[in-house]
This record gives sequence, C-alpha cells and structure tokens, in this order.
Amino acid sequence: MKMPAMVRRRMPTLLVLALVLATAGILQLTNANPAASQSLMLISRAASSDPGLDPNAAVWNESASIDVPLTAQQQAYPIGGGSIATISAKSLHRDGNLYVRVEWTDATQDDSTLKVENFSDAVALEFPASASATVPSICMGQVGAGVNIWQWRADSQVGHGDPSERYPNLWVERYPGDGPEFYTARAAGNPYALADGGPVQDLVAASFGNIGPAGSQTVQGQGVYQAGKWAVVFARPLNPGDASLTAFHETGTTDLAFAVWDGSLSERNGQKSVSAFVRIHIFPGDAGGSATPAWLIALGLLVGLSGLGVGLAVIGTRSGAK
Amino acid sequence: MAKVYNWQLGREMDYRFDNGNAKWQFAAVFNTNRCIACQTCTMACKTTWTFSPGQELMWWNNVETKPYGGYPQNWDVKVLDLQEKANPGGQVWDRSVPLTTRAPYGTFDGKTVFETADGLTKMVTGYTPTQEEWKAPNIHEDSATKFPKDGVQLPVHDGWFFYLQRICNHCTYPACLAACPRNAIYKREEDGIVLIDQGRCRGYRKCVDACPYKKSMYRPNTRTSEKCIGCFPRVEGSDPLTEGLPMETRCMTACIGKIRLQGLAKVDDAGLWVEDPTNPLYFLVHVEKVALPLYPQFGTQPNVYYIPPRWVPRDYLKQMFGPGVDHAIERYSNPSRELLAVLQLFRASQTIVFSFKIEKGPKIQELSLNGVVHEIYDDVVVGYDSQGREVVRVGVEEKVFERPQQFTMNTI
Amino acid sequence: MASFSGVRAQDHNLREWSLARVHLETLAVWLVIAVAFELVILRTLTRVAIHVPGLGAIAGPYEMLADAGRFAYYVATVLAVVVAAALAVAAWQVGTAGGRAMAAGIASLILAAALLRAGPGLGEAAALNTLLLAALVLVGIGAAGMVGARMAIAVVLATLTVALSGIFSVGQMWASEGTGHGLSAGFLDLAEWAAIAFAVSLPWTAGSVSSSSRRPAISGAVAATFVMVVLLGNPHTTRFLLLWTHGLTGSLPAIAYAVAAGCLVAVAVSLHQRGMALAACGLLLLVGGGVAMQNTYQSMLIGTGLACLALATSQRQARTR
Ligand code: SF4
Ligand code: SF4
Ligand code: SF4
Repeated sequence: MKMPAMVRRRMPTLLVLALVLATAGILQLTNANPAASQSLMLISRAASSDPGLDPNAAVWNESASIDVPLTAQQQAYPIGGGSIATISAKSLHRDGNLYVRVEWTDATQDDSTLKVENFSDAVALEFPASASATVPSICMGQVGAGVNIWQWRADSQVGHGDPSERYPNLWVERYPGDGPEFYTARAAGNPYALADGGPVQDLVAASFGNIGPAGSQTVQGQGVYQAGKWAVVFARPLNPGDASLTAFHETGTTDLAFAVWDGSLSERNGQKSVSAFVRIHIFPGDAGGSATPAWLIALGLLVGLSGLGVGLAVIGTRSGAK
Repeated sequence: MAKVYNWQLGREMDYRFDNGNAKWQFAAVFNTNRCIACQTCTMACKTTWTFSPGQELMWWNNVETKPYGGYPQNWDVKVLDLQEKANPGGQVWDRSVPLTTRAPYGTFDGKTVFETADGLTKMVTGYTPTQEEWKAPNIHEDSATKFPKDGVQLPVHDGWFFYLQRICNHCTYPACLAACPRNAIYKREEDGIVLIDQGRCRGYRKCVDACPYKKSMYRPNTRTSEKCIGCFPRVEGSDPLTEGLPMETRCMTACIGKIRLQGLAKVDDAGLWVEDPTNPLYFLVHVEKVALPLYPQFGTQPNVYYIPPRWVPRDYLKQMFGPGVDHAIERYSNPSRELLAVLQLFRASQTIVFSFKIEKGPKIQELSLNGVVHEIYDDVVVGYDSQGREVVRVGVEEKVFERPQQFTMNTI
Repeated sequence: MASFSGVRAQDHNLREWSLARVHLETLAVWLVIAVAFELVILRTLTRVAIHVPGLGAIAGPYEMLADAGRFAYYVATVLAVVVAAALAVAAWQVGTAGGRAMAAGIASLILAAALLRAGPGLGEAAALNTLLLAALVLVGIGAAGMVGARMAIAVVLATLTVALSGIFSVGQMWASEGTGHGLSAGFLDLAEWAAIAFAVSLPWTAGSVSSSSRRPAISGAVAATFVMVVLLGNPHTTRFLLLWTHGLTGSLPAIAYAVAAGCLVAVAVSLHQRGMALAACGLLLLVGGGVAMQNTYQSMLIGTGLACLALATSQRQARTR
C-alpha cells in the first residue's frame, strides 16, 4: 500500500500530534500536572522545639513570614470585606504536625456573638482537598475539586454559653426544660451550635452554600489579641487520616488561601477579605540549613545559558554576515 | 433573579428563586377589631416552643400596640423608611386597573424589598435590630395618640390605638429564605410553612436582617436563628393530640378574643389561590375581601390577613394593609349574611375547617344604623374537616342560658 | 488595498521549518485550539459554573465538559513544550543574533519550567522563577532583534508587560524567602498599561488592518462589544476572571479592555487573511498566556507566543537546506 504524497508529507506532524494526545491522556488519567504554579510561597521548616498553640512561642522566630495581600470578596452574594489589606503568615512543622501562624491588624477585638448585632472576628485557611489540574476556584472550590477550610473564630474561643452565664443579673423564674433536646440546633446535630466545639472548625466545601463540617475534627487553634493585632496559630497532623481532607507530606507543596472577617463591620459568610492562592512548601530541613547553594546553582544556570545564547548569537551574526 | 407573580401586588416581581412547589399555603385571618391584647396567644407559643435558655427575648407570637409599639421597636417604620429612601415618592399603588383575583387591590407601582436590593451585598433590603430593640414584646402598651376630652366616635376616632397580632407570615416569597446564603431555609410543599433547618444554619443572621416583619430571631447560645414553625406538627396532623387531622396552631386555638381563624389554602403553580369560595379563608380574603395582608408592598406575599380596625385613620391603615382598606372596613361594618355566618367560625373548632356550608335560618332582628337597615338572620354555619366530615356547627345568634336559681351561691 | 507596512510578506518556506519536517504552523494552530478550549472551559466555565443555580440537575453533562476542558489543558501543556522546542530550533536556524538569543531564551524557559515542576527545594523557587523571567525577557529581546522596527515596538511592549508583572512577582518571592523587600503593586498597574498599549498599537505595529476585506474590522468590533458587554454587565465576576485567567487587575475603565480586545482580534484575523497564520497564533497565544507569572504553562504560552510572532514576521529567512 502506498501512501498519498500529502499524507506522507504530513506524517511527522501527525505523529507528533498523536504523541501529544497520548501523553495528555496519560497525564489526565494519572492526574499529574506538568505545569507548576508560580505564586507566592510560604515555607514551612522543621521547628527546633514544639511550637504548641501559643502564637507568642519563641520558636516562631525561626520562620520567615510572608505578607499576603487581601481583597474584598466580590464574586458571590453576599459580597463584602476588603477592610483588611494584608495578612502575614508563617509556618513550621514538627513531629508530624503542621503549624500555621497568621497575624493581621484589626482595631477592635470582637469575640462575642451574644447579641444579635455582634459578629465575631475570624480567620480561615483554605487548601485544595486533593491534587487537581488547577487549583480549585478560590471561592469554595468547584465541582470535582473541593476545598478543606480551617476556620478559627474569636467567639468560639471565648465560648458561647447560655445568656444566664453572661448576664449575671438575668433572672428567669424557671426554665421548664433545659435538657440538650431544648437546644434545637444542637439536637439537630449542628456542630457549630455546640458550646464546647473548640475555636477551630474543620470544614469541607465543594461549592457555595455547600460548606459543611468535615467528618473528623483534628484542627486545633488558639488566638491572642495584642497591640491591635490578632495572632492565631493553627495546628493539625500532617496526615489527618481522612481521605476527604488535605494531607501534607514531610516534603511537598500545596496551595493555600486566606480569608479574614472583621466582626465590628458585621462581616460574616461571603463578606470577608480574601487572598489569592499562594503555595505552602513543607521542607524537611530546619532553619539552620542554608539555601544558598541551591539558588547559586539556579543563578549559575541562568548566567550560563544567557551567556551561551549571547555567544551563539554573536557567532550566528558573524556566520550570517558572510 | 427569577420573575414570580405576586397577586397581592397585582404584578410580576423579582425574586431570587422561581416559584416553589407548595401545594397548600398556611394562612390565617386575624380580626384586629376584637383583640384585647391578653397575650394568651403569646404565652401559648412561648410555653410551647421558646421557654429554653437562649430564647429569653424570643417571641414568635407577639401582640403589639400600634402606632407606637413594635417588637422589635419600630420595625415597620424602619423598613418603610428604608424602602422610601430607596425609591423616594415611588411607593404608590395604581387603582385604575381592573380589580381581579390576580390583582384584588390594584397594582403596586413601587419597589419591593427584593427590588430595592442590589443582589450582591443584600438580596433583600432590611436591617438588623439590636438586642435592645427586642426586649419588649408590647412596648408602649395601650398608648393612644391622644385622649380627646369629648371622647371618640366612629367612623374615625380622634385619639386611637389598636392591637396588632403578629406571627411569622409564612410568606409565599419569604425574604428570610431569599437572604440565606446557606440555603438553610426552606418552604414546605405540603403547607407552605417556612422553616430554618437548625442543622444547617450557621448564624449569619441574613434572615434576621432581611425579614421585613422581623420574625426570624437570633439565639445566642446555639448561634443560630430560629423562627415560628407554624406549629407544623399540629398543622400536618402528626401531633398525637390531633388524631391525624390538621389542627390549628397553639396561638390560634388559645385565642381568648376569638379573633383568629387559621387553615390551609390550596395554591396553584403560580402561587395564586385556587378558587374555592367554600374555604373560609378564601371566602374572607378573595370573596368578601374583608381581610388584608400586612404591608403587602414589602413584596413577600405574607399569609396572615387582617380585618383592619374600624376606628383608625384610613391613611395609616392603607400604609399598613394596602389600598383595600376602605372596602374591607365597609364589608365588616355592613356584613353580608354569609360573612356574618362565616365570622362565627372563628375559634369554634380546633380542627382546621377546610370548607363550610351555610344553613339558612329565620330573621331574628332588624335594625337601622346610620340610615341603613340591617337584617340579621340566625343562619347556621357548618364547618368540615380535611376529610369532608362535619366538625362544627354554630349559629349567628349566640345562645343564652340562664343559670338555675340554686347555683347563685357560687357566683363570683 | 492591503497595507502591509509594518510587516513584510514572508516567504512561506517558514511553514516548513524542519524539525524532522514537522509542520510548525499546524502544531501552533492546534496549540491555539487547545488553549482556547482550556481557557473557555477550565479557566472560565468551571470557575463560574458553581454560581449557576440548578447545576446539580445537569451534573453529568457538566462533569463531562469539565473533563474535556481538563483534557484540553493537558494537551495544551504538552503541546506548548513541543511547539516551544520546535520554535527554538527554527529560531536557531534563522542564524541571526536575534534568532540565536531567542533560541537560548526558549531553552532556558523550558529548563526553568522543568526545574520548577520538579519541585524546588528551599530557596530555589525564587531563583528559578527569576531564571524563568529572565528567559522570557531573553526571548523578547531576541524576538525584537529579529523583526522590523514597527513590529519590534509591539514585541518590546509585550516583553515589558511580562517583565513588569514578573519583577513584582519574583520580588515578592525573594522577600518571602528572606532576601530583599516586596515591591510596590504599582508594577502591576504599569504592566496593565503596557499590555493595553501592546494591544491597541497592534494595528499600526503589525500592519494596519486591511481595507480590502471588512472581516477584520467586523471581528474586532464584535470582540470589543462582547468584552464591553460582559465587563459592564457583570463587572465583579468578569474582573475576577480577568485576574484569574490573565493576571489583569481590571483596574482600567472597561473601554480600554474592549478596545484592546477589538484590536487584538482584528489584527489576528487580518494576519490570518494575509496568510500569516503563525503570527496570528502568536497573538492568540499571548492572550492565552496572560500578564502575570501565574504558572509555568502560561509562561510557556507567553514565550511561544512571542517566538511565533517574531518568526512569522522576521526580516530574514531561515536558510533552507
Ligand atoms: S414573615 Fe419573615 S420569617 Fe416569616 S416567612 Fe416571611 S420573611 Fe420569613
Ligand atoms: S404558629 Fe405556633 S410557632 Fe408560630 S407563633 Fe403561633 S404558636 Fe408560635
Ligand atoms: S389571645 Fe387573641 S385576644 Fe388575646 S392577645 Fe392573642 S390574639 Fe389578642
């Protein structure tokens, strides 16, 4: 059988295309992304001592912070936020636990939601729940690419017991019933309604209005308000042992976004200041290990290659001029 | 934004969702003329649903004194003010259109609470009352506008106040539901009752902000919002007490003044009431048009209908109940034979009356009032339950029994 | 009458650049198609789809579409590298200083992208991203050297856009690794201006839009109107998408983006009409790549876009064998 001339001429091109399609198919099946993100990177080094949950622990000096710009959430109802311009973040890891410390400026300490008009200061970290071709939509993920959210709330840290605990002079003749079944939301299994749910909630979301508590709650956290700033530490085992939640490795990179709520501005839900995704890189070494050799290599490569290019260019010009 | 039909406004309006799939609609008629503000209804609700820690300031049913009172304080004036600011001078009705069941009060040319919101920061124009404002369920109780020396006289009293009985309106287009970013609020197919899913609510209080009637309330110790549940176990007949038959709610059945009648109206896909003149609610709202929605201009198509107080200045009433006020007061002041009979159904039965029949009786009185001759007949109204079985039979003439002599010792 | 002042008509030998006789133009067209599909489905649709009410009802078809978009993305990433390599060979064969510089630039670009993908260790990310940025700039410089004076202005503006936003990005990276300080976001605004300037000057730099056919002008007008309508109709989502897909902050008035889109499309259509599909591909790849340094794939699109544009309009022919 003889190939027509046109087909023969196009053969190499078609072959290359076929190879490309096959490679793409394999990549999709294996979920291996050939491209790398070039966004800001938060580096998590091994801590020399247990950071615990105290934002003021000295060991945090071992970590360099990044300042992540925040903007108003403007994509979905209810839009809002934008009052907090930046959040600064640090990260450490130790004994199989990941620690993230965030700090931002907020003129008011809003840690009570006792009154209907009170809203709490809060901060959240958002990770893609699993590896995906692109990072999920910053807004609560997208179908097939969910996110794992850790939210710390000031009011949850203070606790939100019955009004009688908070207003010492409140007088009620008798509560005919005050068993757990009379706290409707708690009886309905709403973890958010628990008085002792802890300051951090581990949430999963696949889309707007779709956020819900994670199956297991393994994130701990603690915040302090000092000198007009909130500092909050999150801690969680690198591997939570739950497939629906983000698992970290002793070394590796994943995406991370931030959201901050200012309670004094009645910010809640979508009304928040949000960041784009940055990356968090977990590095097995500690702060002592110098990075110099690595970037020297890269710089060397750069200089060498450009030198090569310019050199060849000169030769090319000469030969071309002939 | 979807387009839905709001018959109370006589026009289509913007709403966040398409019309739901409710087949029946919870509805009630409150006769403001008869209420004595005894708050029995309030306590019936309180002792049934909101007696637990965290619910201290929560009154799903309250009776407030108008014009000064309000729970939360000044709720209606504040929402009216927000609306007026958003559409200055434009909140008016057009009465020149033919008044049909699709537009019984004319057409509202102004904007609803949905239409004045931007849909980005808010779905519904509203505000969040402070805790302070929720502290008194009947503040300014019995405060009249003034106390004229020479007393007062109909048709409009010179000094006046009246009681406004309020529960959640289980709106056809609930503002609370439209505002919830969690989609934690839903309207039930079987009776149109609007509920907050206590398992999903995350206390964003968007419903508190949005409900123009301020009937979604915040509970600080569970950090969720709660609201009137329309006593749904009674309405659906699942409460053991009901023996399987739809029964009126606690606040209705407890009413001392016999001012309340509640039931279910059949609705079609467009949210319009299916014509059924034998349903007492349909009869009062659509046939006699004696009962009017509360602030229909807000646009939520509320489902508690009020027979307006006869003695109150009409412009005040028209702002509150819409342009159907004159007609409603006229109907109530000069009731037809049927209306007089149907009014007897108020608090005659706990079981919800789905239909009624009138058995004609003899003329018992003829009197002349302001030159109009009124003939009163002792007709008997018979009420039937959801299964078409007779549950109540009551005549227009109230029966009088004289106590036998031997019991005088025990009189108070 | 077709005015072709900025660009000289080319000998179409160019299409036969010989990387084992692979037809470069065909590959570039395929790349553009894959990028367009990926841009519309993956980068745009799946980011807004969750706001579409009732999506759950069509979850099946939607998932299929999303998968198709993901496949296009994979095809585009792989094909971008292949096209880049072919372009490097072709540029090398041009033999001029510009061509060789560009070839070196593309080679560095591929290397930097590969190293970044391999997962840099501590402190390497900033360096590698700097290398990648330098490589892109090198491609731009080489490209500018290859083309005529007017086209060079376009290439310089495109390179400037990349350089300005890139300097901001790597500046932040160095700061986060403890070296140096973050730079002002003013760089991003400047990059935005440069990007718009690049686009609106194209009718002049790349040869004015032909008057013998109305198709370029009409296509341009349609594109401009479309951009205007979506920007004004749904400003929040559109600006957000602009930022996400292209790194544009959307801070300028809507009309600027509309005119820029109109010029880009008109010139691309005009180039295509003049038989310069490779140059048209170059423009579209630059659009697909966007402004800021977002990921190595998009950086690769910027590099290939510049190279396509330069090769298609280069003043010197490759020496054919
Ligand atoms: S009255 Fe308020 S709480 Fe009740 S359904 Fe209407 S909007 Fe919702
Ligand atoms: S219907 Fe039931 S829950 Fe609602 S106010 Fe009346 S008694 Fe309370
Ligand atoms: S029980 Fe009836 S009469 Fe008493 S306040 Fe309530 S509605 Fe009015």
